[in-house]
Amino acid sequence: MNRCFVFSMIVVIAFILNGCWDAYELDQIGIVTGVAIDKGEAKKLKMSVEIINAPELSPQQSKGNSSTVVYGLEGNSVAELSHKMNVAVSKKLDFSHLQTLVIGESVAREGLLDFLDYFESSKETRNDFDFIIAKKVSAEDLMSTTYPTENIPSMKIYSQLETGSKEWGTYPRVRMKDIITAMVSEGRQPVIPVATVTGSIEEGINVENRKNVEPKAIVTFTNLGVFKGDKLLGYLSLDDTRNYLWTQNKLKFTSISVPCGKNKFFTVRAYHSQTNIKANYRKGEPNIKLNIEMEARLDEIHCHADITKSNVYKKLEKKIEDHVEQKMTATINKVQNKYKIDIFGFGDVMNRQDYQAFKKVKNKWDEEFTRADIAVNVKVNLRRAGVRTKSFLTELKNE
Amino acid sequence: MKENISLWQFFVLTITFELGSAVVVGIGNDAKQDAWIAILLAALPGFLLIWMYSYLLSLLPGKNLFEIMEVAFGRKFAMGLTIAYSVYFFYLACYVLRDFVEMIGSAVLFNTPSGVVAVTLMLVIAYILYLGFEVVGRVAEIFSPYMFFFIFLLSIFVWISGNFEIKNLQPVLSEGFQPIMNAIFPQLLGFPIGEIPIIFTVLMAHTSNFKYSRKVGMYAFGTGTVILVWAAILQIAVLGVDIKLRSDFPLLSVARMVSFANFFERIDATIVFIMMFGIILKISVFSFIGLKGLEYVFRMPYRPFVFPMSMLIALFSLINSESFAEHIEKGFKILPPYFHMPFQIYIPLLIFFIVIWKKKRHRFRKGGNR
Repeated sequence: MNRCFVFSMIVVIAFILNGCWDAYELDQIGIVTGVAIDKGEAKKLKMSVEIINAPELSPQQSKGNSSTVVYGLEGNSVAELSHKMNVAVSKKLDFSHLQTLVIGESVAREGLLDFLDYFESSKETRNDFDFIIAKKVSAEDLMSTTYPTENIPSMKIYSQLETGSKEWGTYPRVRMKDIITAMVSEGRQPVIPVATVTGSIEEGINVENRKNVEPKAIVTFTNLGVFKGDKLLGYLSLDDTRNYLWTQNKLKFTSISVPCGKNKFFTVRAYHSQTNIKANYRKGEPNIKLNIEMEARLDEIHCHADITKSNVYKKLEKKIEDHVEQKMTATINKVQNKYKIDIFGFGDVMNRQDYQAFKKVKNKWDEEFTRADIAVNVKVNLRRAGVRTKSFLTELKNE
Repeated sequence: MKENISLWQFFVLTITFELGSAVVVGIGNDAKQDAWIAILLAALPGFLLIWMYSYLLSLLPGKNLFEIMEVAFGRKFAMGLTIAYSVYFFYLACYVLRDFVEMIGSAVLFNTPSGVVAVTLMLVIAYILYLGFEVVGRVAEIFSPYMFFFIFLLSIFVWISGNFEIKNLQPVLSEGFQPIMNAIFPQLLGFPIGEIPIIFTVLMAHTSNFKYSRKVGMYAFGTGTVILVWAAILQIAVLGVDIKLRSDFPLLSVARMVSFANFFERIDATIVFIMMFGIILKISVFSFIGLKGLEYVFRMPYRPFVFPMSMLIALFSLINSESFAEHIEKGFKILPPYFHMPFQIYIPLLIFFIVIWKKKRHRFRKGGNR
């Protein structure tokens, strides 16, 4: 009797505990790696998904077909569309491996970022995908443009962003948390990198594009999009983007070319850069000080300079410092005068460091930002220069 | 079947109980980025209550709260109070179970019916309770190292993946102490701080060595509070105040942020484990105390009540609230002022003073006779 009871309990529990309700096998799901949001013609939005074609990713099974499938559908909410895609797509979509979210320019201009709510509260999506604004082209086309060495377009964009932000500081890695925090914060406005397709869009969305030595179309990053709340205001150039990253203490490596004569430059590789921001109110004026300290290595020099001498190092350091200070100040002034919003998060710094003063102005911080007195102070420590003591240029006979 | 737990089991059981669901759901939200200070300060009255209640128990050795009530009020009145207490503890078990069901439903298993989650968990707990309270202690002893390890691992991973931004904690004490006080009274004091002293009034009577149980209990409570403070700091530093306030399960969101070396990611399952383990123990303890109350009222061993009460807890956890919003509303607006405060503080304090008064009078009379 007792043994019988135990046995029947085991059978019952085995049925209950296996969690069948939420089981999806791998062959039942389509993994979505990219999502593109465009403005719909009839409905509010057009959502396009990029689903990977798994056999094409394996070297043995690949037949040279497209490794991704892109399909777009119009509707009013992303949450509904993500389950409605099966009007054309064969499998249940799984968004947990999303890499890139591309947003059409018109969507961003009109402040239609309210669909982000779905991505924030969904259990499937995480905070590990990147955001891009598609400029001049539709988000769907940008997401479909193929590239020779990467099978999946959105993975190409993802690793491009990752490498770019580490190598030169081309674009900030903007994640959902950053955007949402910036949107709701009183002392910061969001930014999102902007990309476009250079070349022919029709040939870009073809697998044949991957067979060209010089791709017929390629996704290139061009700007940094500046947002006021959820509306796209305008664009900053790539140089400004690097300066923006510098203020955020997010710049890991970069190369700076400084003029040292007529059409002559010297280039240093900067690393270990550290940015400290001090913000307070002095006599009713917002006062912000940026202190940037970095180490650098001399990579290339066109001018005559005897780099065996330490005082030459000092002179070069001074030149770099002046150059960076000037460029940074120009970028900040441009944002202050042209866009009149605080994308740098100086308000957040003020909130942390001078809370009582910030509390009074937090509803009009962007106005305060435009009249803020911002000083940039750069300290460069030039450490070494390649593996030669002197450049061969200093020994050139014809000079 | 023994009903005594060792001091070490008592220690880890208390810590796990205190962490329970509180480490996963955000607490002290009224204090915004100073939530960790609020938790730290809320522990002070907790220590005081533990001291008082353990003193109360030491006055009448071997008796638990319900038997002490009899000393204070007489059997008839004590029975009424005991039934009220049992209902309160069973309700807390329902509430905690619903927390778990909601987390599973909203973050892990979408399509699984809530009833299945609730009933399966309660079957496990009924089995544990049926085997006796010692088994609860052993469950705590066996699984709590994993929990500590996972919390440690999460902290390290979050730090390495570069999400830990300590500046999110600033500005410290921006609005003074008022928001902190609002967070402590009555919310933090009721959950999770005040739950510890009140369960001690029954659990301490079941430790193998009562003499040291006060000291061990205080250490456990202190350790648990430190981990809670750390969890709050982790949540605020990683998510930022705004996202923390808007998250149902901030620690789960923290785990979702972990991603480094393209390999250590998607570790949310560890958080679900922490929550599930904490909740199993919390429900076990609450149900055990409730059953002890029934044992006192009906003067019979509690085992026949285990299975029916467990199923009732599963049922009531589901019909208690229709939606998650209603559930949270009850937990934050109704429970602390109208239930936590009287049951955790006012009534025990009343008993405390009555017992001391009676003892004094007793001693005085004794002295007079001599």
